[in-house]
Amino acid sequence: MAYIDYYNILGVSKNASADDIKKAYRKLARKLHPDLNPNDKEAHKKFQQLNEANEVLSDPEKRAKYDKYGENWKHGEEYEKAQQQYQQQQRQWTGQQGGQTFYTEGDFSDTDFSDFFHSMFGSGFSQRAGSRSQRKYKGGDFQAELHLSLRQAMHTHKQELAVDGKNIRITIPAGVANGQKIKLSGYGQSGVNGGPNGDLYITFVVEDDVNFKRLGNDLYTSADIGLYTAVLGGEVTVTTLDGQVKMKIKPGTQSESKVRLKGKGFPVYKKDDQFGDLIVTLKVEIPKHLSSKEQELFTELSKLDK
Amino acid sequence: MSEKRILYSECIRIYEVEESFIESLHDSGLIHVVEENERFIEFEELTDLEQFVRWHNDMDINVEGIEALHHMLGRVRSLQSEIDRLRNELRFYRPEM
Repeated sequence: MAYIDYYNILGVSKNASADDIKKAYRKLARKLHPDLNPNDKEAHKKFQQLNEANEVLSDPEKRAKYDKYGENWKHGEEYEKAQQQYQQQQRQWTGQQGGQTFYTEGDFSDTDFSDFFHSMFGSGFSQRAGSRSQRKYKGGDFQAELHLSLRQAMHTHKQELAVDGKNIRITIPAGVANGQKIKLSGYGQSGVNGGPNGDLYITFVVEDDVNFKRLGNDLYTSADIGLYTAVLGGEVTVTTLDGQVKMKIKPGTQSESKVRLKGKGFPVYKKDDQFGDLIVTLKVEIPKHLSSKEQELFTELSKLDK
Repeated sequence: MSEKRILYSECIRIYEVEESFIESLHDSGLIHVVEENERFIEFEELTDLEQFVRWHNDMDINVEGIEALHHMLGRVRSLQSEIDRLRNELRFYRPEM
């Protein structure tokens, strides 16, 4: 466990005034605050360090202790005594507060503080009784990621998720997009002081499919057709995500030409009975091994073409 | 509906903010205070309210700054969802990505 230089984190000198510390904290908070740096883990980590540094240096009692024993925290006899005293106080404090701590996104509980902090000040002291602990109200939000296959995403279905040790059953509407986020109100951390629970945010990751590509609500696939069907026209069976359909092929169909099957694509999110289209790219298969009869007939045909 | 909202006075007490701060948020349209026999704030507004309180306390940002920041973060979110959509499109044309 390494010593942490809180003055360095805040960028202030050891004789900085309380006002200097407050200003330095706010200046850096404006840069590193998680609300302003969504999904930036590095900024989040730095803000935690900043928060911890401020927690210590803005509290005269903690700052005095840190200044006295900080670098020699492992050895000081008085520090050991002080720690015991703090732990005793902490037990009393925890009993009074019911041991409840929570945080919302962008806020922090004492579990986010470093081992160094906990060794020096004990846990439970990160929130000063009567100030931050009383200000908290709504439970923190949870973030989760749910992976679905393309086929799963095309049907409204239920799935069970384990969130914070509890199993919850959710309904996933057909047509969710890759990267789409939904909010389940009240499935986050429990609120305190009778407040509402936080929310659960689920981000869907829709996996690619070997046979189908999705672009918005349209699906793309390919189908092989024989040479004679391409030349003379006919019918071909195409596999959709939902089964097989028969499709007419016009005479003289070129390879790589596309046919749009209306309403055979992906369901439109939360729009019942609305679907995108299925775009089928036709690939004409040229026969590789001709019988002598076929060879003869093709030769004859080629003569007609001249 | 009463369980879905919190008394205005209770809200000020719990978040330890000045009434004028919440009034300013209400005046600027950032928070909606419901006026009936008493004044309430809907639970669904609390996430935003907590964020504004954090910005005010942690970063010393005034209500005008909060308004600008809120707007800009809305723009960032909208651009992010546009990037997600374009990424999905790009993945369609370049599946190796």
